[in-house]
Amino acid sequence: MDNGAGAMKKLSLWPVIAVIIPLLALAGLVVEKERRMTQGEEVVLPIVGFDPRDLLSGHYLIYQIQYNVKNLCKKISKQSENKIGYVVINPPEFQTWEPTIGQVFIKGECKNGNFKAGIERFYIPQEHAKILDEVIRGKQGKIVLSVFYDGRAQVKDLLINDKSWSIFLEEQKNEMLE
Amino acid sequence: MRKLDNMLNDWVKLGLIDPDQKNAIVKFEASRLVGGWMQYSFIALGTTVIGIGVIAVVAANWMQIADYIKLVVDFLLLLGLGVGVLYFYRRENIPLLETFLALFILFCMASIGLISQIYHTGGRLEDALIFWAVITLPVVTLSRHHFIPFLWVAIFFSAVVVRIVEQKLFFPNISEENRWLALLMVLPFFAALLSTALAKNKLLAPIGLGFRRWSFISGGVGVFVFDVTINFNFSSSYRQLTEVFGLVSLIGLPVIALVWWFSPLVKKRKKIVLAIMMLYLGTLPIASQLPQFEIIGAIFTIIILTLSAVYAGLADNQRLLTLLMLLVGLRFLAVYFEALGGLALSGIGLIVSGGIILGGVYLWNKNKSLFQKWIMGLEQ
Repeated sequence: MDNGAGAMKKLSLWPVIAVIIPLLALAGLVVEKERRMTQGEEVVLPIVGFDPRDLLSGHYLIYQIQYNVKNLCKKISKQSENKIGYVVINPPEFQTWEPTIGQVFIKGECKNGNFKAGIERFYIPQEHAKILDEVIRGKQGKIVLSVFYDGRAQVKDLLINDKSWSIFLEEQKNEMLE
Repeated sequence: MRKLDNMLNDWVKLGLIDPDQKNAIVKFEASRLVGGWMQYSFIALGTTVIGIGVIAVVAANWMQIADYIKLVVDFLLLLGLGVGVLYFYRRENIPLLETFLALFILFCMASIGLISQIYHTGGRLEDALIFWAVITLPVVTLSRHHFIPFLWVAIFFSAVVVRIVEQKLFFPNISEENRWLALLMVLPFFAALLSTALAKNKLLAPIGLGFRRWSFISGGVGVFVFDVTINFNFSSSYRQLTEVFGLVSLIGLPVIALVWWFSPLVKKRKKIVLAIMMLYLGTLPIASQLPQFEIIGAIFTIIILTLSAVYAGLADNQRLLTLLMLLVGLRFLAVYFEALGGLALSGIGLIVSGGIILGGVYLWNKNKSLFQKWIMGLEQ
């Protein structure tokens, strides 16, 4: 291990660059996520789902988005699984080619007949996981998305009975107190 | 250190070295590592526990704290750890450098978790780990000890393997079990290739060393997987197995050639590594053509483990040598238990095997000086 020490000393700038690279990469990730969140077209879609847990990031709801599109992932043959597909929001349609500019659409992959766009997760505080899980199972949930012009979507909020989940929980809490 | 002191005292008593030389050696060894491997083990354990703790705190998802505050605090902590890394790097305080490096890279992982939590990213865990590995690679090169590169390679390697299997990037047209088999068997070659490629670069040499260790570990896994597959008929299609082994050989052969030309190992010791690799590849097509001879898996395992034990002996790694010899013994024992239907045959097989081992020991003692000369040659 020590054989690299001499080389490191000579490259006096390298340690600084090495430390800065991850910081810049993470900051870049935040900027990109923020950009997608604020600059995209807002779309609200109904969901159904359940609650697993992620070791890295905690509790989250995992759900299926009800795109209400006919033949979702049907045009993609079994042999070409994991292929890219596009859900056009208005008029609702699934297609395997990229929609024209100006249309709002979500880009994703068809996996085992399901359309996945990396937006099927909503992180929630551990103490509220159970109640939100029950509500989502009861098909009362919707997801608010920010859809970018290239079809990449970003989750903005979770709606329960058309209210933001935090407001819904607050109301539930007040009702219980009354 | 106490063991070294005792040895040095003995050498002084025997007149092999004088007290001044003894003192010089003691001073040198004390300056090399403060506390030695035990201190590093505790540092590794402590930082890993702290890292897991940080990840768990992030995972708790405190809704009372605004997202931007979470992000600002996260980045300030990262910056602080980064400054710590640079400070102890400049001061050449290796134990604290390693501690801050471990905390820094684990905190980078926690930060990815936090960002995915705040922005509800629904990606795969392995993608997050690959991203983490890429962004932390430069800082890992600052490490002066084995633990951090080893940990980095372990996480990177595991994430890449899962990604390849999940996405069918490798052998897309075969069953999943055979894809896992093929990948596990080919991994040591990839690790050896990366290790050889990185060993030449002074900056990336620590990562190369991590890959070297993982080439041995994944090789062990490959041997085990092969043995189990052959022995328990785990593969659903032997025709497909032939294809898999053929492809593994196709990838492995050029790697062997590259390792031969570019490996930093001394030439004669390299021969043992190459013998192990060739045997590893050579057995695959034979085994896939003769699925009825389950014993091939056991023979393959025993020979490879024995050769690896010889290599460990040459590398003066006594603990590994003992472990490998123990595994050889256990595999012999497993052959005995597997052959419940034909005890007589397996008994004869064991007697012959034991005879070969004892014959080897006899030959060793008879031609000790000849072997020692040969080993000295390997170590040059």
